[in-house]
Amino acid sequence: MDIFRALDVSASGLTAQRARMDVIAENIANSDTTVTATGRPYQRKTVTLRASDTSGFDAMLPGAKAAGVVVDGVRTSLDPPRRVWQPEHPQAGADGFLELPNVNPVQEMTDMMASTRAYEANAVAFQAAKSLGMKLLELLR
Amino acid sequence: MISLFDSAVTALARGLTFASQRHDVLAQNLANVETPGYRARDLVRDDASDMAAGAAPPLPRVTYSADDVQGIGGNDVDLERQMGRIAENTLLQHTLVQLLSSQFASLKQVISGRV
Amino acid sequence: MGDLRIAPIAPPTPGSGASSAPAATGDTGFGEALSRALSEVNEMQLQSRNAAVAVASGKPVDTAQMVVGVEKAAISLQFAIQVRNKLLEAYQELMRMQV
Repeated sequence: MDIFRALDVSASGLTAQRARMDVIAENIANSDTTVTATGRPYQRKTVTLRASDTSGFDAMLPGAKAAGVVVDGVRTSLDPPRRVWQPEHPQAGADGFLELPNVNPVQEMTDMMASTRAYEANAVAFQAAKSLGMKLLELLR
Repeated sequence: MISLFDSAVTALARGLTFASQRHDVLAQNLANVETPGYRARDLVRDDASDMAAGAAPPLPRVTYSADDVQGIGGNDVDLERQMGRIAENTLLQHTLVQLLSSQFASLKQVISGRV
Repeated sequence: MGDLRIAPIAPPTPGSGASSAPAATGDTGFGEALSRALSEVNEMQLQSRNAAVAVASGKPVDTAQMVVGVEKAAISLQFAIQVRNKLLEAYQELMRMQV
């Protein structure tokens, strides 16, 4: 039913924003992790999103597959880590510089707010579609 | 056979179909509010009031609704404006359902002869 | 003279009689209208049933059109039933009349 398609679209938005928030939380939690399993400092991660519509306008035909947004994957930043002069730190390099994750907390918080807003907007759209479906069925009592 | 249902019911039903398809398009915009390079869309339909009676009305078309917002990678979805359009569309849908409901209720009253 | 033969007149079959003389009785016009109306109601019921089956089997369905179609079918059926009831009442009333 077309009602379900609207719900699918909004649900995909919720999923995508949820994934983003998880990744942002991981970035923030690891903003000081100097050593990870790879031996290098934690690198900032981002979620890549892709619009999953069937080339734009075909999605409007009844019976088209659910459109929306798709999480393409999680990308690790290739930016170099932050270097801070801290020769007394046990993990500092031979040159006295400590490599810290390239996570900027302000950037992460801004992203988190945008993601939250987007999540709430998708939730509102989801509710609207659901309530309309119920109203239509009420016509049949 | 006397037609029980005049063109109002058909027009209301068509309006509902259009509004529900428009919601799909707007919800798609919201789902992609953070997708790089995504361009916002909208569903429009041409005015059918001046068409010959009995002719099929024109199909709705999807258009790009440029919101003049600069987002990531050329994304131009304006969240607030999309929410506004969704709200107005939802209101339209509720109105149409109410109108349809009262049309059907009147018909049933007439048929059953009870008030 | 022996060639004269009178062919027997075939009795008119009921079907052909009704179609060849529709204006002969006023009832036939009404009967046709009634049977047309009933077949329309039946058609709507079938469509509404098909819509229900399509929804149940998960096929994509235009919800608004389906709901309106189902409701129209229900109202048409209600109308037809009421018409039948009134006709029945009228007939019974007629039968009860003292001659």
